Amino acid sequence: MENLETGLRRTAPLGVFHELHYPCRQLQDLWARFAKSPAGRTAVAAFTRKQIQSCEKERDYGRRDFLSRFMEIHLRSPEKLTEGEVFQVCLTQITAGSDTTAISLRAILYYLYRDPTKLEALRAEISQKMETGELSEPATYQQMIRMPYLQAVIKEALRLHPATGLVLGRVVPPGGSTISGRFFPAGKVVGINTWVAHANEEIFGQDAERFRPERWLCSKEEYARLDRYFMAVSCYLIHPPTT
Amino acid sequence: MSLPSPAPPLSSLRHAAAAMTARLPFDPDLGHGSFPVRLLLPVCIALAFMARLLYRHLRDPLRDIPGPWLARYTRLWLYLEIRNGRFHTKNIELHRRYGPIVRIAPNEYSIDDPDSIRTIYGHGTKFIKSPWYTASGPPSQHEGVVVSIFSDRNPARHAENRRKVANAYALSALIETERYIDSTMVAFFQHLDHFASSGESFNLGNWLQFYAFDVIGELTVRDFELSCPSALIMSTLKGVLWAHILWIVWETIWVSR
Repeated sequence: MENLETGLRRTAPLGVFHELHYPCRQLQDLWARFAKSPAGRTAVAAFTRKQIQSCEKERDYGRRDFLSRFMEIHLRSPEKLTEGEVFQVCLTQITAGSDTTAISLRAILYYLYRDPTKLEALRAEISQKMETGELSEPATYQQMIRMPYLQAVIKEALRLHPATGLVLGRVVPPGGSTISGRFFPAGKVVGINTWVAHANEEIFGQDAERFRPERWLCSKEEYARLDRYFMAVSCYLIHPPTT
Repeated sequence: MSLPSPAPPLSSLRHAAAAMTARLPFDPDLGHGSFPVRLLLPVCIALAFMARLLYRHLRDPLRDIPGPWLARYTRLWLYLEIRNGRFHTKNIELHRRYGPIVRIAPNEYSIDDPDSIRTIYGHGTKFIKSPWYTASGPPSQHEGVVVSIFSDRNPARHAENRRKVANAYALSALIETERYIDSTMVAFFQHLDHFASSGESFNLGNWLQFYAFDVIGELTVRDFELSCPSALIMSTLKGVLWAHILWIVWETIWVSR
């Protein structure tokens, strides 16, 4: 096995991991086949495939959901984005997007209901916006980004309970690298755990473990200092307060 | 008063002894304090394995990095912590105790330093995703596609695939999809109203899972229906989880780095 391993390591850069992935993939397929319901991924996959086919038939460009957008690219130039790729992107989005969203929703509600004063503060902001007619039902994204306390609540919940709990491992490239004052030779796996980052007391202070949305309602400089070690969402969806 | 039982005939004693020796795991003739030959090979293999671990550990330039002792030699520590669902809190404790760099597996290190984000994950970094991601890949070849954007470890291919679909994730595009989840939201609130008025107890955590699943499903492939059977979601996630567990077990047993 050792020889095969080194052999693979030499012949293909990813060889050794193919070797690991393959049996798992087989087992996962087996597992899916023997699961009680038309199992998880398989069922979602079947549904996705059905929707792709109906989308192909109808050529319904009126709708602007992800599938329509992907199919538009696919039908315009099938070699650029194959149907298999459309399928894979949709499937990845459903698997990766739904559980993380649920975790975050739960965290927001959990922390709000554990601290009635924060819940009251958020309710006050909602009623105030309702009164001035700045909030419709259902509320829109554009309206909600203008609610600083709501944004701070979301951000603080994501800080205390990020949806990923493992070290997001990366392989040190050839030549090695110095990280946090220490030299790591090539091939070592290093990474940061979102939970560890968000619990850092040097950045978030002695009360790093407390749910305190107010910490985000601060000066621009202070916000940037905190945001530097906020790793839950790496995009613009959570806005800095407009102060 | 019972009479002393008569001494059993010698032949039956011999039979009993023969039966007993037959049940022994090793040949008693080789016994008499000497080492059972049959165990020699497994013990040698175990010793060689341990010697190799020790040798590798002593030669490791990073051997002074602190961490749980078991994690020095095997991924089993990491596996158990993840399986028991307490790795994230354990990871925080380790950093509080040992500082910004700790070992979590023989070859893996957890970092707690804001300045290292750019080095490890920054734009144009040469650090590629660790093999952990392979277990999150497509379970099998779906129409010739073997990679997903999340699990792809090849940075060039990943960037190319990302570019292909990037437009759909622009803020303007996301806002356009907003109206498609209104019906899901209404349906969800109706369910909550029902629970509120009937006083029926329910698991909000599960319902948020159904809701999130339907929202993402609706945005992605449309016509998703609320309360997609929970079994479906759970088995999806379990499938992914199992792949990881199997992968870690596989690597722990099979691959000695």
